[in-house]
Amino acid sequence: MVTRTPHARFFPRRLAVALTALTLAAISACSPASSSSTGSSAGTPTVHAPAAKTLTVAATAEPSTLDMTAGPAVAPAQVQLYNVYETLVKIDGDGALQPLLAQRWSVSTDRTVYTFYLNPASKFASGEPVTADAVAKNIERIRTSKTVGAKYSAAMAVVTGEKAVDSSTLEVTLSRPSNTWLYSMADTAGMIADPASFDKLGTESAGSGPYMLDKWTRGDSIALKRNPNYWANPGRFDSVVFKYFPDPNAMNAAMMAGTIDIISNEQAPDALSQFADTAKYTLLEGATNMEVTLGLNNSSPALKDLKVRQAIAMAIDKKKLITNTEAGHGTVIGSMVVPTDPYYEDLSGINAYDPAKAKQLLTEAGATNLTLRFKPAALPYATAAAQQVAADLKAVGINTTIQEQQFPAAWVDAVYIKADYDLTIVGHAEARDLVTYTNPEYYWRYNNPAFTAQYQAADSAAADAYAPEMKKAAKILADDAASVWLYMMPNLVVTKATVTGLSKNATTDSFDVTTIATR
Amino acid sequence: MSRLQLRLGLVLVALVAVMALVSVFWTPFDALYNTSFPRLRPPEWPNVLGTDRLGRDVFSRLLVGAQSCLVVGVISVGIATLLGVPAGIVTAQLPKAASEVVMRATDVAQAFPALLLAILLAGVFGGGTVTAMVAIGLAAVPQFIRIARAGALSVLASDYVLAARSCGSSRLTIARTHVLPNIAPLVGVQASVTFAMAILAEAALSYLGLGTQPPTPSWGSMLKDAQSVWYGSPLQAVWPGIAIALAVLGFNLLGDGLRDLLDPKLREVT
Repeated sequence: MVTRTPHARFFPRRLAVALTALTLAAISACSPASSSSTGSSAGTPTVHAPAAKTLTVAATAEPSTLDMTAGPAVAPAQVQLYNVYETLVKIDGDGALQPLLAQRWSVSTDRTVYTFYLNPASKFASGEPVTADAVAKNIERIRTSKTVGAKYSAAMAVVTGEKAVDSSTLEVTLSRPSNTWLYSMADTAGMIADPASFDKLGTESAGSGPYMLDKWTRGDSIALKRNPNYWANPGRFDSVVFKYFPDPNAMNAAMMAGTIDIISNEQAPDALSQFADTAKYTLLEGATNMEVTLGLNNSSPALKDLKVRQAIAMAIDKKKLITNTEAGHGTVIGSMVVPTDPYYEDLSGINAYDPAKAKQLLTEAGATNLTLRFKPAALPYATAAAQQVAADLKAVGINTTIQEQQFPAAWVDAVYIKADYDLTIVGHAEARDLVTYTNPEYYWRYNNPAFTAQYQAADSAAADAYAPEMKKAAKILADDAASVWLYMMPNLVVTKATVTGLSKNATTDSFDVTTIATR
Repeated sequence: MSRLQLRLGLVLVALVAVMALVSVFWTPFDALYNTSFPRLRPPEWPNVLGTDRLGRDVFSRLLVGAQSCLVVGVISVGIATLLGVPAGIVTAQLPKAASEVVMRATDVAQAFPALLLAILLAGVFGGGTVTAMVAIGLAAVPQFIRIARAGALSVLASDYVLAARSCGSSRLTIARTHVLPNIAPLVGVQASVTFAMAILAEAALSYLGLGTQPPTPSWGSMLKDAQSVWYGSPLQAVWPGIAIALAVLGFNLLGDGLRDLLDPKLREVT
């Protein structure tokens, strides 16, 4: 738990808070960005105190489209996955697969043909049934449509065909066995929409989930309403409102004022002590899929040398970094794997903090007087972490020049597309994203055929060999110091004490409200 | 009153200048990389203003922040003066129609907010101190053109300029020997006021992540860093806030005091 920092002795607390508010307000008034953020959040003009059947969830990033598969952003899926759009199978809070639209499924002996048996009762909000043919069209859309983002198409690249055997039986054929494919089917890439509305996914909802779109007030909130045609147990709320707060302090203030029920991910962990009263609030701390990663450009002349990459990894005190940037919340990780992944093992001992060894490696590599271009995403956690990392690197003799990159536009252009950087920091929120290291063109420009072969072997391995083989792949990355995985972003959720049923782990792109109830 | 304003302004500006100057040679601790102290420490020895969320000494960072503030102020005011004053003097000597066209163009340019221009430049060239200085300087150019033109028109209408012309002095000579010295006080007042605006703009840009880049401290970026911890450690925002307020107040008072001092009518009243 976070303990409140002792207050300064020189200033009465009220005066200090008042002065703080005044100075922040004064400087904020000079910035267009901050004025727009306060405009959308400070007054909370459109959201009233929650009615008995309304759930109000505070979130940070508002979607730019409702189409969950249009781009890499997870904000549309946060609102809609499982709530509005369902999938054949679902990932639960422990990371395990559970039936959803498919009552059960079977796999052929060569593990290339999956047969799904759909729930015959399932239907879209329009009243049309969710048939095997509709599901097949959805898989085909993700595979082939040009409007679908690359990461979702890539997740379905292993599929060679989908066939409706009858109205509720679907066969999907893969080009090779793949253990990760079924997990992809349980996440955003596996969304099932009414085929009649494929061309309206950006602005309307066409799912089979317990909720449907009610109203999108841009810059403020997205309201969902109960789907009257839902085929299973109906949603517990008449209305679910996702309200957006770019400023974490405004979000916390809204919770204190009682205008929201849930803070979906606390962005200011140092302020958690506000919610210490367990009679009024519940604090959940769990896992996410987000690895906050110090990206190393493996094609950069200085960073091609394994010893330099290992030295960078050993220079960084990850525990201190978590303390300083996340107020002690978060988990040290040693590879691109988080504890809820089925193939997780603690690899944080590889290239662990050892500044003396780091200096020695740099000397052996002849990399003294090294200066690296450091381009972190201009996100609160990333810029704070970048300064701590720069201090740690300075201590072993590596200089850095930090240039914050506005996220996403500037960062995507300079780092993600052009790879014009040496070091960067950003969080990778996608589930099971070890696969990105198999792509030599991905922004960390990592090209190790041995890793790619091991990853593909793991993906194609028998189900019981999947986890052990993936562990080997993760260890190759860690040994190679392909990146420095700083920590797993904690899932810090604050709810009113009356809210129950929320999973403490965020294992998918979804903020799943279907399990939530209020007392 | 004007003398008091001037003195107070001078004291505050001198304070900022001393902070910046001292920090070039000495700070209690390394302001950039020393994260060895406990984080968010309240003011107590040896961290007289406490430590920030990364465990760095706030007093040291405040001192170094004065450098960013002064450098951006000096360079941006320099850009505005060097571009705006000659342009204003030249405009004053243009035919009336051409002069009006230039003035309407400065009106349009003046309507474009400095911060928006800075954000635009940062989008194209990347954020940083240089971008901030150039953007703030360019945004202030129209004001200097207006001031310089107005002053130059008044000087150019005087008898001694007429005499100089009749003696065959060139426009350049007149501008250098008669116009420039006579409008210098006006430009000085405008420079002081623009300096205050530049400090505020630099702080705002750094607050947005578009100004001084970390780990180099700027008072604006210190405010930004304080935002995530202000519930438990409100003083983190108070110190840079006070510094910005006093620096801006100092340059504004200095500008007002200079204006009053140099205005003969007001001088008579006081």
